[in-house]
Amino acid sequence: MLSLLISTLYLTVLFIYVLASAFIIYHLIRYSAASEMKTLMLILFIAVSAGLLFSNLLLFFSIDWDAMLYKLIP
Amino acid sequence: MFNLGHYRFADKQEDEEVIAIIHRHWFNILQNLFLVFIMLLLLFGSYAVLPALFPILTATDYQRLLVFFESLFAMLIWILFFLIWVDYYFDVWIVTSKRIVNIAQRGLFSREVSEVELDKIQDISAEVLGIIPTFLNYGDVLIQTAAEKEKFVFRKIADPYTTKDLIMGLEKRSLQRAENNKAKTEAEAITAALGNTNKP
Repeated sequence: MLSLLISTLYLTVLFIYVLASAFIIYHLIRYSAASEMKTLMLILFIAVSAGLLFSNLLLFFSIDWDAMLYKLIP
Repeated sequence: MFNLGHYRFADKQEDEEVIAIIHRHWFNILQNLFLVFIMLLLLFGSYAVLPALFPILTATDYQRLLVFFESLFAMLIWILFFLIWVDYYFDVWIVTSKRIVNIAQRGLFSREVSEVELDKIQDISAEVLGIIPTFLNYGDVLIQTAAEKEKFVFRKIADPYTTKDLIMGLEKRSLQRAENNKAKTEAEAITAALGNTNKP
């Protein structure tokens, strides 16, 4: 039950993260005045954001949440 | 002088030349990024200090949990950093050969675009207030206009006095051009009138 709650919380955090990233990408594409800066910032933002998201997902799924919660809340 | 020919913004006219793109001074974004620096310190500090304080965190499971939360914290820092950067980078004043465009970006969901034609400018003043602004040479440029929006303020920009001089020079050139156009139109009207009188 608790692991389900954690999964739901995590999904919410991920949703907010992806939504904020999408808005930032939209601003970069829509409002950038200089094309070189736009490309550079888009590449940097997408690469780092995706890297962070991917590594975080890997870490989340590498944890046995049921066992962890059992240890933390016996 | 930078080549600003590649700059594009909405409603840019074909015969309009971008003279300057003005952002807030770098010290302003540094001030805004202070929280991010603190968070980065906490992130790296916690990775170094927490396992020493709580030896249980060196166990594989708990270490993974710690790294997971730190990774989550890093994601938050990254988004926060870019939100501050978007606010800074898209908050801009564009000076062209015809007008000044003020794009005020506040966060992700508030954006205001206003403009004033150079010949509508009535008065310009520049002010640098405080020790750090004086030392780093940044401040405000205030423009009084005869347009719908009466006041234009370039906030916390670098070298406000030079910007003021630049705008004053452009304004004079714009007024001169308007006067020349007016004189030309009048001369053409007189020539046309004389041509009509001389006709039999």
